Amino acid sequence: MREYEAGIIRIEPRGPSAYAIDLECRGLADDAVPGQFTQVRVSDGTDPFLRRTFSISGADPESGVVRLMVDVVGPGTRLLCGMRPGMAISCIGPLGRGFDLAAGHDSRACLLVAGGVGVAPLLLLAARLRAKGDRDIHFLMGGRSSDHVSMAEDPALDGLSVVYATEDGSRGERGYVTIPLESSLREGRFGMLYACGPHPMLKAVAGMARAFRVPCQVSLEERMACGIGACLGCAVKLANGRVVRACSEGPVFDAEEIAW
Amino acid sequence: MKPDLSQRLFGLEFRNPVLAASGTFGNGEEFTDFYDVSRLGGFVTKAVTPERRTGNPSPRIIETPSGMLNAIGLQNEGLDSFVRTVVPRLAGMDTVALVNVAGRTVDDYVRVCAELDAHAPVRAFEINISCPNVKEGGVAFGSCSSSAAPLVAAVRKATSKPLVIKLSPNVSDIAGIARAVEESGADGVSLINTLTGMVVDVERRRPMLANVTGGLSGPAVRPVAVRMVWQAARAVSIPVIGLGGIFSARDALEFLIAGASLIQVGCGMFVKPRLPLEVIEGIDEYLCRHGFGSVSDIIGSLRVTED
Repeated sequence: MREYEAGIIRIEPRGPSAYAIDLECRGLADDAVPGQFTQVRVSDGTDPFLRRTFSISGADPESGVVRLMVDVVGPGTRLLCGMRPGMAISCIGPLGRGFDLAAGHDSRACLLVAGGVGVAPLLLLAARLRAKGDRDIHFLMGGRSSDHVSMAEDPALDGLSVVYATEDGSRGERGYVTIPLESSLREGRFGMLYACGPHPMLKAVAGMARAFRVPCQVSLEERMACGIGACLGCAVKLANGRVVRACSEGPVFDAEEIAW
Repeated sequence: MKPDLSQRLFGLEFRNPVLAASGTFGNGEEFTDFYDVSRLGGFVTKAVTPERRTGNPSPRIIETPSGMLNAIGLQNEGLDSFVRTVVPRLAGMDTVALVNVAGRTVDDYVRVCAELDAHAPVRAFEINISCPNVKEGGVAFGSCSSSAAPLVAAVRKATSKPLVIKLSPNVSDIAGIARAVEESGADGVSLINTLTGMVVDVERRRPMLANVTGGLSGPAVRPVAVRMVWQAARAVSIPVIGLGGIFSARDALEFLIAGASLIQVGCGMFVKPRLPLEVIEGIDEYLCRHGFGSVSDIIGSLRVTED
C-alpha cells in the first residue's frame, strides 16, 4: 500500500450519472488484484473531507493504466467526475483483501453477479479470470433501470454473455438480479459465485448460494473513513460473533462468514 | 542552526511535539507502509478496556462539513489480548507509546492501569474520560469535576507512570475540570476529545449513525479546540496536549502558541497519511523563519494584549 499521484487520462460517461475514469498509476496497475480498492482524495481542501472509496475496475500492468467506475451520488463523486484529463489525484492503494480466483471452480463455470456500481470490482475479476484461462464465465448485471446497468458495457466483458435485469424492466428481465441468478443456479453447473452490490442484494445472493450449495464470495460496499485499518469505522459482524474491518479483513468475504 | 523540536515532559523524552491521536492510528502499525513510527514524537493507542468490546453497530461513521462523526464505541480486544499481542510490539517501536484507557467503572480504569504498570513499553497512560459513544463510563466521568477527580485519584494510586487525562469539550467549565484533575494527581491533560453531534437522513427520517449520536472531529472543530486548550493551559501548571482538527503545520502552531506543549493529529491522517511528518517539517520551518531556537520558545507565546 502506498500513496500515488495518479494522472487522469480520460473520463468517459457510462449512462447519465456514471463515469469510467482511467488513471495513469503504475504502482496500482502493477499490484492491484480483483476486489481491492483505492482511497481517492477528491478535494485539496477540507470539504469534502474524507477520501472516497473505489473498487479497482481495471489494472493493466503493461500500460500502467487503472480504471475506476464512479457513480455520481454526492458532492465528492461530482467533483471527481468533473475533473479534466491531465489533472492529478492522490490515490492510496491497493487496499483490502481481494477475491480468491483459485478457489472452488476447477474446470467448472463461474457466475459473477453485480448490482449497480457493484459491477466495479467484477470487471477486473472477469478480466483476470479470462487471462488465467477460465472460459466459462457468466455475468449477471442488475440495477434500477437501463441507466444504472450501463457500467457493464466495458471492454473487460467483451465477448462474455451478460444477462441484464432491471427493476423497471427497461433493460433485460424485469425485477431483481436474483431472478436470472436463480435460473442460472438451477442449471447446477457453477462452481463459484462472485457478487458485489448493495447489502440487501448480497444478502439475497448469499442465501441462494447457500440453498444451491455453491460457494460464494461477496465484496461488501461499506462506508469507510481511513480505509487502512486504523479507525474501525467499517465494522462487519461475522457469523462467529467477531467484528472485523471491511477495509482490511475484507472487503471480500466468503458469504458464509458474514452474519447477514 | 536546526531548531530543537524535542520536549521533556513528565519524565519522558519526546523527539518532537507531534503525536498520533488515539483511535486514528490503530496500535501503531497501520501507517508503517507510509513512514517509520520512530519519526513521531509519540502516539496514543486505541482505547483499552478490561474486557473485549465489539463496539457499536454499523454505520459508525458519517462525513460532515470539514469533518466526520464517529461512533465506534471503544471496540478493542481487551486487556489480556493487549498485554499478549500489542505490548511486545510496542517494545520494538522507537517512540513514546501512551496507552489510552477506558472503562465503565472506576474499577475498570484502575484494573487496566494496574496491570499495565508493570510493562516497560507502556510509557504513559491517557485516561479517556471523554468518549461520547458509550452508554456507561467515558464522558460520564469527564463531564464534571466531581466525577473526574475521584477517578483520577483512584488511577493515580494504581500506577507510577505518567497520567494524561483526556478531557471532553462537552462541558461548561473546561478550566475547572482541568484544575480538578491536576489537583487529583494528573501529570498532564489532553484535549479536546470529540464534540457530540448528530446527522439526520432526511429522506428516511432516520439518524445516519446506528448509535444516533457520534463524536465530531476534523477541521470543523479546530477553533473550539484551540479556545479550550488556551483556557485549560491558563488554568493549570501541568503540560497540556492539544488536539482537534489539525490538518497542517499552521494548525498545529495555533495550539502550541495557545499553550499546548505537545499536539496530536487525528482523523486528518485518514486524508493525508503523512500529515504528522508534514506538521513536524512545517513547525521546523516556522521556527527557523522566526528565529526561534526551540519549540519551547513558542509554547504559550500567545500575545493577547498589545505590547
